[in-house]
Amino acid sequence: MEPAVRLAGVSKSFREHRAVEDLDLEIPVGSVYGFIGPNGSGKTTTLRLILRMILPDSGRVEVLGQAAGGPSGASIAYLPEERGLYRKIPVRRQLIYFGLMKGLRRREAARAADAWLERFELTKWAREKTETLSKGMTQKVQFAASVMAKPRLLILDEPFSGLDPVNMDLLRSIVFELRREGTTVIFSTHDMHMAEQMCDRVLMIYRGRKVLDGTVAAIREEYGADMVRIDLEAGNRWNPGGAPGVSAVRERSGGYEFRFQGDASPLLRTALDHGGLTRFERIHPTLHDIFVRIARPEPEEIATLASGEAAS
Amino acid sequence: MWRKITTVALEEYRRVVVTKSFLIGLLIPIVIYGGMAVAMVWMSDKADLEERRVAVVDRTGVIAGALAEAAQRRNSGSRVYRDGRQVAPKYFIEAVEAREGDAEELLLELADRVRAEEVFAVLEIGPAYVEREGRRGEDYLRYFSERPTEVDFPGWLRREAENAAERLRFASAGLDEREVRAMMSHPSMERKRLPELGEDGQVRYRDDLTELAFFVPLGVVLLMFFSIQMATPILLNSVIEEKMYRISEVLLSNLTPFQLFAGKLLGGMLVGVTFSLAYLLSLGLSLRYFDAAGYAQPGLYIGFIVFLLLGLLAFGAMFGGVSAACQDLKDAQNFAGAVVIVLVAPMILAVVMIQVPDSGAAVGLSLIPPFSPMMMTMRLAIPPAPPLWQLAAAVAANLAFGWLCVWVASRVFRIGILSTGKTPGFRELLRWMWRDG
Repeated sequence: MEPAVRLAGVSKSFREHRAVEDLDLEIPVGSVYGFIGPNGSGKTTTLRLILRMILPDSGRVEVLGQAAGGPSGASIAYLPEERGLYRKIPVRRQLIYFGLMKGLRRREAARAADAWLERFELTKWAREKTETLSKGMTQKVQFAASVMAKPRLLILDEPFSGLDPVNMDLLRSIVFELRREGTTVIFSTHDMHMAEQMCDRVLMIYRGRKVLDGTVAAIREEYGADMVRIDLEAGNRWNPGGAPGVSAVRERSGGYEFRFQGDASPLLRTALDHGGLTRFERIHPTLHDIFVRIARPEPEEIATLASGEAAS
Repeated sequence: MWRKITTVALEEYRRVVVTKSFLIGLLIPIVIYGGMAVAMVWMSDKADLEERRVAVVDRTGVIAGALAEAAQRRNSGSRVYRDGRQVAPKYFIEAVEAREGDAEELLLELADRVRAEEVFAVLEIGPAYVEREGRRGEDYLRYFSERPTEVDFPGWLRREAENAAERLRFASAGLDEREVRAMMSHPSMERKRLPELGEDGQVRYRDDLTELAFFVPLGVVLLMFFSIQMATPILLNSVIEEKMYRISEVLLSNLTPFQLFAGKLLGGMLVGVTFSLAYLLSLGLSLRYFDAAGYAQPGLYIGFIVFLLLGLLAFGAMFGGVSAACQDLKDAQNFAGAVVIVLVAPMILAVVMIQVPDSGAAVGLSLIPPFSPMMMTMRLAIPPAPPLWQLAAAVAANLAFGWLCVWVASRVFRIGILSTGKTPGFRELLRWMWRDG
């Protein structure tokens, strides 16, 4: 089956800045694909290339089986982070306008707008200007505007920011509902926990290059169980920082998580000697840990990265 | 393609026109000018009746008496009383003895009396004022007051003093004043429009209303200027809002930058035409009401709309391109200042050239964009209309210029609308024009 999105050897520069470099990517139809990466890493440029807002300097971009041409109207929908709505236009009129932009007829657009407003319990706000809505309500209107034409490819940029847990669950359920109906979802986020929960596969771009691409489980597996989690009784002031092989110590409620390299037995003995140890577990790094390792590498990783770049 | 362009255009149009601020903007000039007319009628009923008393230092010894007689005649005449009611202030002459040797001291004393509001003004008449070839420095007529805006009273004093001096000169020369004045009198020239043969076979002669003949071209030039100036910055605000709130990214996932740009430009042009139509309609109805419809022939209305559209196309494109390149409203306004200068210059030149519409400069500028729309409309409003070839050449030149502006602006727009960070300089803008995407 043809992937929903295929990028082959895609590069894009803005003057001297290389925003995306030699990027290969295939996003299967009906998947939820997470884009992660620090600010300025090339995520937005990649999204814009997929949206065909900009053209690559080299390489090939295929979206929904088409290699060239302008925007795809109803086929592709994009939800930018937080903004994306006119402040002075009433909610329903705004939804109809975006529906028309996606190629719907006026009557279809009006019907879809009403249906989404009802689903999001925003019907009574239909005639109000967007600027009068709360952040959460605005986010829902924006979400409705992007999905009202039933897109085949939905691109979401931090879609859950500003939402309370109830609305977050509502939007999440709609994303999965769309996926069940065959929509491919690209999901750009900084929330690693959300990415782990929602995405079938994750792509991480760093300095314009792809550094991770796969399922969350496979990525975590690839990094090995090089993390240790310890729980300590209340009042125990022992800190594993400074112990041999320990790095990237992160304090958490009731204990610590840290990266550990080497034989764990001496460390376990030290912990036991301090007393009050209730848990000592070797674990796989979370997506968050992996992200931080790549985006803010330890000195030895910088050296490895530098030697790798020199070799290439 | 066109469906999306028209959808954007209609939404842009609706966002501007169906608002209280647009309707208020449309009505404010009418309310202001209408209010001024009402106020003038009202004020005319509330005449200034404060008496004007002038202290006259008459060094000829013969003018002050003549002024006093003239004031008396005026005060009891129809100039002051109409239908038994006083409608204008009365004038009084107070002759002050011109003492020898203390002229300045006397004037200072009288100045204090003016300040104390005992008299309204002081008139000083030089000793040689009546002489036909007065001695230099002694034939003066000086008016001192604290009210520099007063026009009627000093004007009346000057006329009456001159009349009195002329009478004395005629008498000393042995001439009959009435006879001389009769010999000097002329009927005033009547200004008429070209005679027309009416449907009843009678030749019609109509008065040429010079004020109207001047007002119509001035009015249409100003209307075009205000329509462009009002409609095109709307594009600027709209583009900046879409950029700042990332609405452009949502839109550009559904339509091309050119479609978005064209829709916005079209919407802005429709706004300008709507604004103009409201005023053109009131101009047409007003001229018809005053039986002066001939001062704005149908060709003027058609020409106005055509050249307005061409002007809006070029200036709208400039504003659209500029705003897409900028990162915030402040930057955009700074850039737009340069475009406004390009807009103001043709307006000033068109107004200046109303009196010479067929001069080489006026004809030349009416063919060269961006001067052409306003200059040609001005010429259309002044008969005889410009030759057809000039109209055709102006339309062609403006179409070409409009196309160029749209091309340049849309090239800048497609890059600028998604750009972030620093507002680009001129070099960078040139680079955008040739960049692929």
